[in-house]
Amino acid sequence: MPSLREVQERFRDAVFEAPHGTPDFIVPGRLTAEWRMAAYRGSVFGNLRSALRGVYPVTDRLVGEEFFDFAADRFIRDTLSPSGDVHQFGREFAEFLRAFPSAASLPYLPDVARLEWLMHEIHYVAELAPLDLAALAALLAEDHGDLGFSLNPACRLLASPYPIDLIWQANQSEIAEPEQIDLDSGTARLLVRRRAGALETQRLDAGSYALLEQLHAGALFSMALQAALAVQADFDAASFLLQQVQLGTLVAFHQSEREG
Amino acid sequence: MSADDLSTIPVRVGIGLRAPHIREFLDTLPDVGWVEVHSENYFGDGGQPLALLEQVRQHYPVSLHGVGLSLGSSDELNTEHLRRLKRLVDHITPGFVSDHISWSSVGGRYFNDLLPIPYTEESLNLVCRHVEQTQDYLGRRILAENASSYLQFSHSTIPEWEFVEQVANRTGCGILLDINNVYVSASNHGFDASAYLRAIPKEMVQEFHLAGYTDTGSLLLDTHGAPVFDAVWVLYGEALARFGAIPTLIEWDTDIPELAVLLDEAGKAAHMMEAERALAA
Repeated sequence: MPSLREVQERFRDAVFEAPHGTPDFIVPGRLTAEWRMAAYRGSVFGNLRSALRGVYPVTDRLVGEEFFDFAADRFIRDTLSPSGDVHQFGREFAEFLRAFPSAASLPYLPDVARLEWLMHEIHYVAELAPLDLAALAALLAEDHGDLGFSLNPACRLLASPYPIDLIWQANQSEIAEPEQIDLDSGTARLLVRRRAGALETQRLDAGSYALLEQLHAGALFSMALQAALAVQADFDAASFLLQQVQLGTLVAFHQSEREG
Repeated sequence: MSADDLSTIPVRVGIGLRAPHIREFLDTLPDVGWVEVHSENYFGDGGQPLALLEQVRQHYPVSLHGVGLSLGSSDELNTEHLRRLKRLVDHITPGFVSDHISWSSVGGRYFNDLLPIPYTEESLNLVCRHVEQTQDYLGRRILAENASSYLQFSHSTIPEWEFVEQVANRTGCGILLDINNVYVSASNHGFDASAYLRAIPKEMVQEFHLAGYTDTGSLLLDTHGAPVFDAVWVLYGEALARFGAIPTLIEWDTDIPELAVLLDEAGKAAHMMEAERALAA
């Protein structure tokens, strides 16, 4: 008698491996064992395809149903689903598309998919309350050390050589034909966020993007500011900081340990 | 209804509440006894899904129904999954917490599907251990649901109904008896669905599920994508006669129709439940 472990490993191989083997521990009855396994293969792939489609509706719309299914099936076969929570599945789909030769004619597709994954992620995270401005002002009024800031967990940063925010927006309506979008309009630096329950993307200039990216990576403000000024000499840090604090992009600050 | 009442599932008909309906549901607050949601859809730290569930919970008793615990897996239970489930349970105070007598992962790879287990002593011991671990961790009783299946294992030694009964008997968990699943498996494997019901001890069953299947011509697939079929209504009538009126849920998960269609199905079930109550009185 095979152990449960052995049964489950062989079942897994029969679902995901090609060519499909049919385990010999299945009672055929009036149907073949292969037919019965095929029902499970169809069910597993069907569930995971529909989970991917739920996360990547714009990607789906851009490539069409048939291509999406084709790509999804390859992805499902090659990518381990890590959790019993199906919403965790599909994180690597953008990278998969980047390396998928059949998708090469749509160079912006992986970045659109990446945008959709970030939106999916922030759909399920807590939205923190805006930062306490009075406390920040008090701290700034003193002789303070350098400050670090935390990005709201409901915010993500994403840059792409393509106008993926416009592509995403143009594909939100079921009926309307997407308008013509200039793919060579320059880098799109995006702050992707959920605010008051709604998903939105905000375009940032080079300095703002560099500043937030550095802060998010743990840099202190002075260093982040240098990075921002390096890409945008006229960057107005004070007004940007105030704006992003008010918008709740930055939700916590901490003082650096002072040297000496 | 007081806030306390909302932490108990009433002996009424509820619906499986899914994302496409939740706003309309909150706007209209339809007359259903309770709702059931898939626990994993609310595993995030926050966000809109959880905010909406909190609102639902202010008006209705909620049952948390899991599809991802993988009670029948030869892997150890996923501690992160348990942690998130407990956090949700503590937050929502559901009337029931349930999952399936099935498996969905091996070696850390998830199928995100409900797969059949061979009914052996080894499986029984394992499922019981996982149910006990879950109950200990959550600090409450759970309900275990009979899953549907499209195949049987040649080395199974225990009939499914006996396996289900044994899980409840050994762990003290309740049984969530899915009437559609009994019908689907009975049809796929050629056993007697009525005999299945008769083999389950009356006091163990805490909840019924009703849903629609898809007939491929060779197999019935448990798709939850259609109205409850007549034969399943008949079996539900038998279940009511045997087990009495107990909380009953209408589930619909693929090709989800208008909310009104689900409410109509719930109305049919409620009508049958009332008829059973009148007979029993």
